[in-house]
Amino acid sequence: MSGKKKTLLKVIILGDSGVGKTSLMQRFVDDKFSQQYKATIGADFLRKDLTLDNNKQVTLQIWDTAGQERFQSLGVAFYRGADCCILCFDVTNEKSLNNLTSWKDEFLVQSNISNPQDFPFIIIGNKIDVDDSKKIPSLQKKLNNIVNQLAVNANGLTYPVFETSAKDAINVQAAFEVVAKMALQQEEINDANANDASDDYNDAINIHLESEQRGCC
Amino acid sequence: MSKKKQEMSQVYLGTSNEFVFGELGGKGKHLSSFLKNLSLTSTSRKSKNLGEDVNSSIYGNMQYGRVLGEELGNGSGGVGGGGSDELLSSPGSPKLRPKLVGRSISMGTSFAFSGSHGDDSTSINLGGGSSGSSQSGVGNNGGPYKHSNLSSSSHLKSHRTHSNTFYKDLDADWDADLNDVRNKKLTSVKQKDNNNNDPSNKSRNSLSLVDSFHPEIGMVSSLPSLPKRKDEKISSASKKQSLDHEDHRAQLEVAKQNQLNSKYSKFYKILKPGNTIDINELRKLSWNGIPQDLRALIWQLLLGYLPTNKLRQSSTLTRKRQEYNEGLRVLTIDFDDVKTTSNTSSSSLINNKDRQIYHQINIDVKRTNPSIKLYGDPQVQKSLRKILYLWAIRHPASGYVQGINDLVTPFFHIFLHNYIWQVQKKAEAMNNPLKESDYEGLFIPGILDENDEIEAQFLKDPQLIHTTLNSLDTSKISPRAWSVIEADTYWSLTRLLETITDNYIHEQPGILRLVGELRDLISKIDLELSKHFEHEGIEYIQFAFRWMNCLLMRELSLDLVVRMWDTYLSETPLGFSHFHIYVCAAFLIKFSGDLKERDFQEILLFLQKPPTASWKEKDIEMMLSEAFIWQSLYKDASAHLRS
Repeated sequence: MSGKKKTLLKVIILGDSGVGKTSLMQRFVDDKFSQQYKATIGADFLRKDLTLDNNKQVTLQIWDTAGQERFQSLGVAFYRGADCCILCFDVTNEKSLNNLTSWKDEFLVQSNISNPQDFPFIIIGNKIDVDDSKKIPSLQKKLNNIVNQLAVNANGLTYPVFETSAKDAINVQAAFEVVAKMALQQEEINDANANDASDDYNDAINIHLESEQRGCC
Repeated sequence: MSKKKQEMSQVYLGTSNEFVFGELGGKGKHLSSFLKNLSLTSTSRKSKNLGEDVNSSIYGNMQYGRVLGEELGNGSGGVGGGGSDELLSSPGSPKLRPKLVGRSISMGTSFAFSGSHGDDSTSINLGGGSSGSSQSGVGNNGGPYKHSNLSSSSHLKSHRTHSNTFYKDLDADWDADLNDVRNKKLTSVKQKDNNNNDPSNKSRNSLSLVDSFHPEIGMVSSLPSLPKRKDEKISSASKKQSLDHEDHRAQLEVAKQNQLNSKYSKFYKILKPGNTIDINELRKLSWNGIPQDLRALIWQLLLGYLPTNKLRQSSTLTRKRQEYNEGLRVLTIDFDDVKTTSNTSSSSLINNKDRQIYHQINIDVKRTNPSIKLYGDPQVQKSLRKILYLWAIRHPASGYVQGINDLVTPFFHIFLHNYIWQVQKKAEAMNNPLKESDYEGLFIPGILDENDEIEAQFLKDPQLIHTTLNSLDTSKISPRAWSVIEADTYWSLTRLLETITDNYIHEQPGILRLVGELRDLISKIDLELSKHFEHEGIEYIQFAFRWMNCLLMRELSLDLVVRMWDTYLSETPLGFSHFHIYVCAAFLIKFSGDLKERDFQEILLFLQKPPTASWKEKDIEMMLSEAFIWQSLYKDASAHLRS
């Protein structure tokens, strides 16, 4: 593999509006936190270079999506070619936890993933910095239920769960390292598939945009 | 200053869709920059010449108005005499205005300097033309420093003497009458300045920007009409030959004021006389930007919310505002509920779907314009929640969609500003009853209410005159006034969104269509960029979705958006849909050079945070002009677009 570029990994973060997706991203990418984020419209793009344990250099291309349901029809343009999907909820908002299932389903429908049973998801519960009194009552139990429910169709996979605070920088880096590893694994599978089809693209984005997007107008 | 220089270069939509570059002077320059832009190079345009600078910042930098206003005061204060506020009422007078203003500035500034350095008085004289030279002549009769001594030895006396001498000379060729009323009030200001011997005041008094609440209207109406005098004219033209730095600045100031005045007078001619406002003329004029204090009124006219028939205005607005209040009354939501989670709701009366809408609005209002202090205010946030929620409930096909919270803010901002402005002007008029008529026809009906006790307090508030949207204490505004501001905002927002309904309904087909149109347009205008995007795998939806959903409000500061909307609102049909595409194209192509150097990731990162922080109104105006050109080139050629 001569002139090898860093591996590009495409990651999507989904979840209800206001659970802190943008804050998580900013904490991870720039290690900062602000109260001043505006609501994300459509999706924002972020990039972060990482070196994994095995000295492997990767670049994460992250799409930070808008949480409002109305924007879900946009998914097609952003989800395609993803290597990993983060499902995000707010530990103080039970509805955002319950909605994870529909976020996952929506993602699988729109991303047109070839191996949905094997596709890596990761669950992040954000805002653990807030008072316990404000958190969802018996959170662990409910969380377990949801996670089991999410994995019900998966090939014996368990989806990793992280509880984070973007505000206090708790667990964010750790979560994204796992994201990167999972994405890399997925990308290698994709690559293998792509090579089988004697397709020599090595850019995850290009593969899918070029091959599937044309002809819509 | 010759009239032709005061003419703004104009590019406007004529009835026949023509491109008008004006006749003379600086217009050629604009033509050439358009042509330059047509060649698709994105160059940074620096204003090489005074005229361009002046043109571009007429509406934005309202601080200047204050300086002028005060200094005009100084000027007319010393003269004394009878007369009427002729300039505003007489149609023949606008011709005189720029000339007079120029002179007034010269006069006022040198007054301010009279205690400090003699040179200063000579350095500020540019705008007034020949009268400027006579002015320096006066100060120099006894030499600058001598004069300074005089005024410091006996302030009041020297002030009086000085002003008289001063005006005698200046008045040599003035040809209008004096506004007596104004003088009385402003003499005191003048005294203050005169008594000031500290050289450090020089800069403050001269061209520094005085923080104030956009008093241009006051300034215009206070243009002094000056008495004819047959005094000798002293010339010391030699003094003025060298244009030092301050000269240049002064010249800029004067030119700016002249531009502003002539702009105002054009709007007055449309707004004031008769019972019906000529909306086409108004559109034509507003396309190039609306002065801040007239903006609320004109926006409402352009939106069709405020009737052009003045006899119907008051009753229409009363009815609409009532309708808004009735709409709110039937809602069972508690707008004071600001809990961020939707787990619990204080009101069990509303159904789950409506609660969800309220929740979404609530969390979005909290993060609306977070960098502007006003939008952190609980009262402001409550108003926005009411407006947005009512709109969402009344428009179930789309409901509330994120981004509409951005679109509501320009209206809210401008209408709240207008309220404060009206209160300020009314307070001014109460101190000076003869002035009131100046604003007739410029106040939106029903904004102020004599029976509003909280408003009565606000009118007497000593802080009122210094109040800006940034320093506003929202508790000083009565619930009645909030409700009026909200209602006007609500209806204006409704009107805007009517033109782009399909942007926000299920699957947002409007936005998808607009993004597609933008892509097609770019492939016509800038094929290279188009190819580069394709090569890098960039899809327009990845960056332009937000441009359509929030009408570029995420890319530009609120002030610039407001200027942009002057033009959008002057387009027929309103420019939020179709014209916006051409603006987006102009916006994208501004960065074409940069973008062609970048790869997929860098392009997206760049477009997510385009470098517009330093943009001024002139950048926006250039962009709008380019958009206009492209619209006229491609508008009816969509068949060709699809090649």
